[in-house]
Amino acid sequence: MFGTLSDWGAIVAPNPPSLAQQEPSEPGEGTPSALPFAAYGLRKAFGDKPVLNGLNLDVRGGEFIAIIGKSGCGKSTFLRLLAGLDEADAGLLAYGGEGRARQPGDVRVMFQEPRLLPWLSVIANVEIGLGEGGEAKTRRERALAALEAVGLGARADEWPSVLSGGQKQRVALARALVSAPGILALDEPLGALDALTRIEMQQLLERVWQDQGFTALMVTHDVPEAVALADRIILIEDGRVTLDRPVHLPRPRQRGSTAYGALEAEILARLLTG
Amino acid sequence: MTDLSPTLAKSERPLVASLTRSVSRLSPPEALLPWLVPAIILLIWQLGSKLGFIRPEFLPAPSEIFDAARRLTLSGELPANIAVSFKRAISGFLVGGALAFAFGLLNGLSRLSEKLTDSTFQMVRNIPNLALIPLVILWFGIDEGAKLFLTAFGVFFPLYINTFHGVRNVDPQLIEMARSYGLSSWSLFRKVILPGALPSIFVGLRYALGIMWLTLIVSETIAASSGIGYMATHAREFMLVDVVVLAILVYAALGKLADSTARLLERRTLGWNPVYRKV
Repeated sequence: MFGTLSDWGAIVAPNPPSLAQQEPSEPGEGTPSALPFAAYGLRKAFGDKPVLNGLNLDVRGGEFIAIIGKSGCGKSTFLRLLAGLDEADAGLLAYGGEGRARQPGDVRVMFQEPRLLPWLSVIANVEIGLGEGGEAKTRRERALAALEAVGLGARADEWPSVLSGGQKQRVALARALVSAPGILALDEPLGALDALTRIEMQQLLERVWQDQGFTALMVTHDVPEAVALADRIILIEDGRVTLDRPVHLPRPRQRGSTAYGALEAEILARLLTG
Repeated sequence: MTDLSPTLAKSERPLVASLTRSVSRLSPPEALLPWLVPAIILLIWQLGSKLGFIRPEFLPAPSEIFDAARRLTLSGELPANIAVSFKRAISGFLVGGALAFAFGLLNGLSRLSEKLTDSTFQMVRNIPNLALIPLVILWFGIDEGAKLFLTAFGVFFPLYINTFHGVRNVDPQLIEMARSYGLSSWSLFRKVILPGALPSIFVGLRYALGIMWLTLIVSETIAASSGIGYMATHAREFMLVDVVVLAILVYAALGKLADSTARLLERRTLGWNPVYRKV
């Protein structure tokens, strides 16, 4: 599977999400358009230490990709390059069907920490996701709709400090999705949550992904989480993709089912031996 | 199962409501509590004076100071001197504060500006501003300029350092988040950097207000022809102890007023922070 970069879009996801589009449409207000994405020969070093060594990856529009790997393998660095938070030393990042460069608003990031502005109300934090401009009333309406989508419509005018960790992360999700981005990059967004909240968040994430049909790339260190959510699980080792494993499990996935457990064990074994 | 999250939010609401209720306003007797100790001191002082334990040449009774206040208010001397001192304090504070705020922001935001000016400020900061009094008298005489210079000089450093520190300590993760959402430089400043620096700026502000009064008292006592400090020095020459004590009390009241104003501003602008939420 790895190395086959020429056949753009040829990788057929086992479970095409309901709203995923084969061809990217013009991004318009409120109309989600899942962006395909590709990385070719991506390189990045910090000082003398190479982190990414010619990483290649092809992602179909609307796919849910889970990226796993040992800490320091470069998975978070890759996500930062994808989101434009850092610049690559070499290689190409292509967005959309024609493989154009990244445009503002293509990619939204959900970080491990909620990163809410504590001095703005919950809804004003979500409005940050709309960037600059726009009529105040429209901005508020869109932000409120995004908050309702994550089940926090009633908390719009409260301070972030009164919310629980899971609720803060839900606000961060609403902020990331309010502008209907083509790609959502998630950098271990559930890592700091307790087990139960984590499972609730995974279900919420799956639901909004199915409803809005964006392309999702999630870095996680949690193999069960990857198996629960991903269409494809990507393993990064030494700055390269060394495993690209499609997940053929019907959604909603049954945690604890035999197939689920077998896949989990397989990935875990691969992760440990690698 | 998919609707689990909204239900959770609903069940958490009563908890939040009860929490906010418990930290609501203080009842009236509790609001008077901070005044209890000053009232007791005043009572002991008055009794001590009336029973002859405190000699009036050293410390007149509160009632006599009150009489002096009334006398000087009716003659117009006290309000005029308060107005002069207040004006000096405010103008010195505005000049020094504005410069400090501007340089604090500039050096916090720009490494180049920091390299250019910060070490100079740090050198000048180590000169006690009151040590400049002889020089300032030579420059300005006992004019308004002298008081303005000294107050502005004293106010500058605490406000500068805390503004600079506040800007530099804004969480870089929040700045990165705001940049990733394409916020313009102005929005980034207004929505992220300034609010993030504000708690530190307020610390500087309250510190600066203290220095403002201190500098003004000393400079008015040493070299002035009007103001509260002058009133006290003048009264000393005529052995009017009641007026001297009155001047000290007026300074205390003005200082308290400035601090309360700063605290009120702090509470209103930092309401998001649980630490500053009205208790």
